[in-house]
Amino acid sequence: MLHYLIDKELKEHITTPKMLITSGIILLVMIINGLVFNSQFIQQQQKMNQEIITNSNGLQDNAGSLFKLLFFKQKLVKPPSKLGFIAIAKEEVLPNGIKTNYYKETEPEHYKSQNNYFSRFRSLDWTFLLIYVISFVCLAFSYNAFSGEKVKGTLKLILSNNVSRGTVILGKLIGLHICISMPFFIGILINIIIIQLNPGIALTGGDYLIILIFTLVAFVFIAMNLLLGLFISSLTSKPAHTLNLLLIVWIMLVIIIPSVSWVFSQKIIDVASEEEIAIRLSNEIDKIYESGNYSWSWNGAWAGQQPNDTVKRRAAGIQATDAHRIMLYREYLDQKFKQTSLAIKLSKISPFSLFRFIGERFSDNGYFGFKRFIDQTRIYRATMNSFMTQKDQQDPDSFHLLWSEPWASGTFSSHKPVAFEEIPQFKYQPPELAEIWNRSILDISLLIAWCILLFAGTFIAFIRYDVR
Amino acid sequence: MLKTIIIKEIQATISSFKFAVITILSTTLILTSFFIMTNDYLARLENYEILQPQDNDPTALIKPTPLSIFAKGLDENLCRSYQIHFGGQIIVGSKQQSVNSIFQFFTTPDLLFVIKVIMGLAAMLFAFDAIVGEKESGSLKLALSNSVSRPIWILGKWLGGFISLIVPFILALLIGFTIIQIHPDIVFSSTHLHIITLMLIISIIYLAVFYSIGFMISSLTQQTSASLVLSLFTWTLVVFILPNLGNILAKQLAPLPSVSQLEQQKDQIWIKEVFERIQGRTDPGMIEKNINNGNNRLMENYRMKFNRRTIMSKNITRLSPASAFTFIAIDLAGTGLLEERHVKQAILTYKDLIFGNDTDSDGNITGITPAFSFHRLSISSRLNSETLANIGILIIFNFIFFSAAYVAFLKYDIR
Repeated sequence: MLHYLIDKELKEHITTPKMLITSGIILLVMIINGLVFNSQFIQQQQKMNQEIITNSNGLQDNAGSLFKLLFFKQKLVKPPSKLGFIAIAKEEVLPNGIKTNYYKETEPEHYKSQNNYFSRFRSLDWTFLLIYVISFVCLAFSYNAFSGEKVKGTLKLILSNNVSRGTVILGKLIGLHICISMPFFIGILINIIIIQLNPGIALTGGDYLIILIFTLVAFVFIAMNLLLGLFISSLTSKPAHTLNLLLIVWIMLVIIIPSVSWVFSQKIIDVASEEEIAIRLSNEIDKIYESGNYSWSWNGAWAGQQPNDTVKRRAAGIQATDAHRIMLYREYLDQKFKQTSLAIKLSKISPFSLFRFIGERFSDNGYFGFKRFIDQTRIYRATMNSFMTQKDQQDPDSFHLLWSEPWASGTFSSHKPVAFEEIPQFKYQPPELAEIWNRSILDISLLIAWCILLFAGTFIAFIRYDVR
Repeated sequence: MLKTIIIKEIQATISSFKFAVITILSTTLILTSFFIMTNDYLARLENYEILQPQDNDPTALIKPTPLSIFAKGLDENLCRSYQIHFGGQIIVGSKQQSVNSIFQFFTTPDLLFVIKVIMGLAAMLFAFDAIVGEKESGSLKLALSNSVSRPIWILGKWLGGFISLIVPFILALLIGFTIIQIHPDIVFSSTHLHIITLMLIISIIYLAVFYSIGFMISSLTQQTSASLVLSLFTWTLVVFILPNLGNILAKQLAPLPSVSQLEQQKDQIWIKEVFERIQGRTDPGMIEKNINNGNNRLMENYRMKFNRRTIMSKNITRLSPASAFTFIAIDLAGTGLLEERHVKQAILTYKDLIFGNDTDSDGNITGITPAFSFHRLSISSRLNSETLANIGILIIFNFIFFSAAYVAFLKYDIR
């Protein structure tokens, strides 16, 4: 009986103008997404490659002397994601680089064409299509599933057959799902073909697997939207009421909950302003100065001599100041991460946000990509610093005293050349499929739980539904 | 007769479920938006107070406008500190960012967003079954069997339905505005109140466009489900796709150098001047002037490219009423590109004013420095030809869509 119901749903919708419109809009967005991604990815990739080459050349130029290498400020950048077409995630507003050397580290910076006016626009990526277009299409297809059939009088006829109510729900769900998934799936294929036509974007087997899994998650998301429509439809007796209720629910889940989440997060986790951080740093430095453990004296004649106690205390003072600066700004950034992470968690009350962040996780863009990049730069800095410390230790001519005053510390550290090939180079590592899966599994499970909950809700409401 | 139809339509709508939904929805959304944006504005205001430059501090700082509660636009960026350094360099501060900068990837739910996206959708959903719904229920035949002409009927239906849509919206706005006004730190001047009134009128014109589109679709279709999907498609196209497409096209046609490229070019100016000085080809007194001139040329070139792109983007995107409305709202609120140009000009003038002052070893300007003074654009300046053209576009859209609905309805098969 189930396949008859599915067949009926398919026949009922497949030839309608709304199906044509739906297919048209999905294909249009997918084609635009493919074309735009192709051109933007290449542009961004070229810019990033340029930055990476400049940085590598800088390392090579400074490798002639360890002392120069210690002060060389490397520019570490996050390259654009190959899977960015899944979710651009307002990537343009997030920084994509950081400058660092042995002594210092800047706050995250922008190394891309970015301006505040243009970053206000949304990107037409898969996540956008699913959240803002397909979710609506699902509601438009399902809002009159029961109430509409009731008004037409066909619901009575269906249930007069030997068919359970659960089967009716399932038949409607599968039928509608096929109607919507078909153009979406074709859109995906067209999108990938367009992207693959670009020789500059080489998707690997792993990338295809990520795309495949995301597509499956998207199907779950479509099912969740359809079930939402079916659930509300089974609670009302008139299609117009269903539609109005759905509008409220959609706005609550898509707009209000995500918007309010960051306000609550701000109230729960306090992040100081940069001004406050600057004041705190200044106070910390004052404390270091006043502690009496360090010396601030300097005499040019000490250069090149075995470092005396005053030099050592001066170097230690500067090292402590630099370490405090880095620590404070890292804590500051971590606090921002904590606040954002809480906002994301709060917004995940909504299944639409759940899906949005799954998309961002899969595309390695947005908050997750940014945080991952920062984590990797920190690991790299530690590795690079340990490498340079080790090189300095290996030089018997060095006094092994490193601090960030080039005019004073020059004669206390090694000036030996460093083999360029030995220098650790930064390369951003996008997440592997296993990692994406592990980190998204909870969100995907929650999305499935939403589906089960809505199906159960629909089933209960439909059992009690007055079909007359 | 028209009056009777309008009253009938209002009575029918007011007692309907969708009226209750729109009322609850607009009130909830507007109050939520005001709550969020008021908090945001107060945080920025607090930062402004903290960052006020001391005497002789060559820093330009602009106070956030309370109108940013309604249309935030670029206000957060406009209100950054701009510090003038050696060689006429302008260092843009980020210290004013009271809100976690990573939050930028969440949507700003200001009133502009609520009206542009949600109320636009609500207007379409209010109208999508206005004609086709009456046809399906059989009441259209009955209505037109009376001695009422189709033009009068459609006009009455449009006016009645639209009044029912905007009344709860205006009431929700008034409630929200009254609550905001209670806060002692939020002070609206008479100019602000004039602008708010103007924004309200334009919002009504904007909602009328969407209502007319819904009406047009309703009179072009024979089934409510088709009308609904077509309405949703049009909404997505107008609100999301067209504005983005314009931006994407402008990006492709008018490229901009990246921030790091600009930095590199600025560094090159410095290196060149220092090198020329070492070679003895430049007079020491001219270094700062040359760097300043070089930076000016660089920024002028960048601004030219940026303006080219924005003009191109604006011209394409204003084909969508949502974009035209956005441009009007942010320009009127003083948080748009118009105000941004004004701010940049004021900062350049300030820079030229203090250029030549002594600097310390870190490049900080020392000595007696006049304070930066800035006045936001007046209403008449905000209502420039571009804003008026955008308002004109909205009115034309209204006329086109209503005419199309009217023509389609004249030929509509009511059976």
